[in-house]
Amino acid sequence: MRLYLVRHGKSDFGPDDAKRELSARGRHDIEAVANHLAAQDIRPERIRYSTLTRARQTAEIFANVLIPRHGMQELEGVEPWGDVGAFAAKAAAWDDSTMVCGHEPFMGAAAAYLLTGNARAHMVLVKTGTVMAFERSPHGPAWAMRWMISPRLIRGPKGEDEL
Amino acid sequence: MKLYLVQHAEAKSKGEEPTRPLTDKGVGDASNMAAFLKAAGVRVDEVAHSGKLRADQTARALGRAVWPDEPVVVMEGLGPNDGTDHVLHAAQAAGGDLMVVGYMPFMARMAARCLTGSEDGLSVAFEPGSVLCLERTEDGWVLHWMMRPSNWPPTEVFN
Repeated sequence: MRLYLVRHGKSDFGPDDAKRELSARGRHDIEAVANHLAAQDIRPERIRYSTLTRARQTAEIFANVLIPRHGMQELEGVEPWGDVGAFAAKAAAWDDSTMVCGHEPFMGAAAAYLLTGNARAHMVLVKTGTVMAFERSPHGPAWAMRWMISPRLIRGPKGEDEL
Repeated sequence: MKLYLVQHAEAKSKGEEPTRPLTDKGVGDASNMAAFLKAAGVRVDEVAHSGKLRADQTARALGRAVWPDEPVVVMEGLGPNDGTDHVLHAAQAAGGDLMVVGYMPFMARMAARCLTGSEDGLSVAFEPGSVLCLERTEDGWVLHWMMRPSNWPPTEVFN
């Protein structure tokens, strides 16, 4: 079983944090990452997203490109303030390979928790548009990291200048 | 300051070839990774490897992209089962970005040591030809990214 943790793309600022939308740059970044995954035939069976607009919009772009077999659903508890222990317990019971679109500092803490059992801060640098792939370890409850990519890595510094 | 941990690309078995050079797939994977690193703007101040042919070939392929016109160097302490102290101290003393090319399980233990303080503090699923990027910040070592050859379809070359 594979688990893909995603931080939403760059977003416009706005008065209501829950309703902030992806910026043009954010959409462009997520499309680039989604196409990169599609080119490798990485196709999560299910995509879940937080209750905040920018995470749903991120999930929609991934879903349009990757066409998850079981569609996309909202998931509470992966907002910036989410409880990583509760999330890890949920993910431990999932059978479908699942992509989860959420936020910092939750995703970095969740990654640390899945890998070490401890939600240590500042262990993983999760920039906007980053995808982290984990596989369940055959030994015990821990997860192993498979790969981690960011839009900047895919686009390169040249692509950044063009935007 | 960044530390790039690299497992050598796929190599022939001892039975096929006692010096264990890279397979054709290994050469292709290293070449794809090199082109990818170049396009991503990765540059380092030193590329070091363990001295064995498969590590040397991988280091040279990546070195051409991330450290052009400089020879790769051989470094001690990169054996598959070596402790992580030596490379950790070398990375901390390097004063620049360092790429080290060697074997499993050393590379996964090195990543765990940097990120958690313990060589078995977490597991990283390296495969031959994988690259993992760490940065030392004021909060300690931080994981930036990790790429594996299977992150590309077999025919695609980034050029």
